[in-house]
Amino acid sequence: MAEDYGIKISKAGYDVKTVPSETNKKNFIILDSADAHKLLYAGYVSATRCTHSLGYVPYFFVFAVDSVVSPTAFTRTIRGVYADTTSIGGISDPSYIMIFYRSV
Amino acid sequence: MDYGMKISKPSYDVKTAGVGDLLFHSSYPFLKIKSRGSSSVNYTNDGGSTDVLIATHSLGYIPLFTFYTQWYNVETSSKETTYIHAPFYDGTYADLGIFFSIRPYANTTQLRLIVESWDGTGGNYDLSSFYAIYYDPEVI
Repeated sequence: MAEDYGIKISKAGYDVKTVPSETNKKNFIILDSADAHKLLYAGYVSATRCTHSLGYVPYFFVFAVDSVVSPTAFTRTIRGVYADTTSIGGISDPSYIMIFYRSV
Repeated sequence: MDYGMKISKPSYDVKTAGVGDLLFHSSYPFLKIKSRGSSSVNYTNDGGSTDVLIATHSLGYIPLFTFYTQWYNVETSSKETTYIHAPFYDGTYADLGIFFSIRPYANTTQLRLIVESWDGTGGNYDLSSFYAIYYDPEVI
């Protein structure tokens, strides 16, 4: 069935009326036929563990920060941060955390 | 730019809010998911390097991706069932020869993974993992 409804916004310089394909979907700002991560939580955490209680391991990003008020540096931690079905652990205090829903 | 669409967070004026206070701004692309899935990687803890195919994408350019995997704890000499966001490196300060590293990488057709480890035990392990590959290229 032809796609005759939905939302598309193309990047500047690209025709939004172009039929999306595997090789040109990158040229869209938003495309309703492409899934996107849904954000559960984004913010600063002053603890070494952050509970999410999703019941599955989510997508997540953790950055150690030097301040939760006016941070001057975000550092991607490559050791020690881990996730399970209920929480993100091993994080630096303080940190900036993003947790996304995941279809499982 | 004098056209486009913006949606602000509650209590923010959409006409003056900064990008960080907007739920949507038509100048900034969403990460568009091409595929996601799970895999299991078998490796031997012998100091060798295992380079395995995780998924094919055939986009013709290097895409953004995320990769999460179980890992090997060199402190306890055992597999952890929690998941870390790769790339990841674990080593001991007492002996730099004891280490575990896991490095996903993408090329124009595949998402692949390199696992290297050594702690003297030589054990064999299966690491469960999951990933997402995006339509958005590594350089936007």
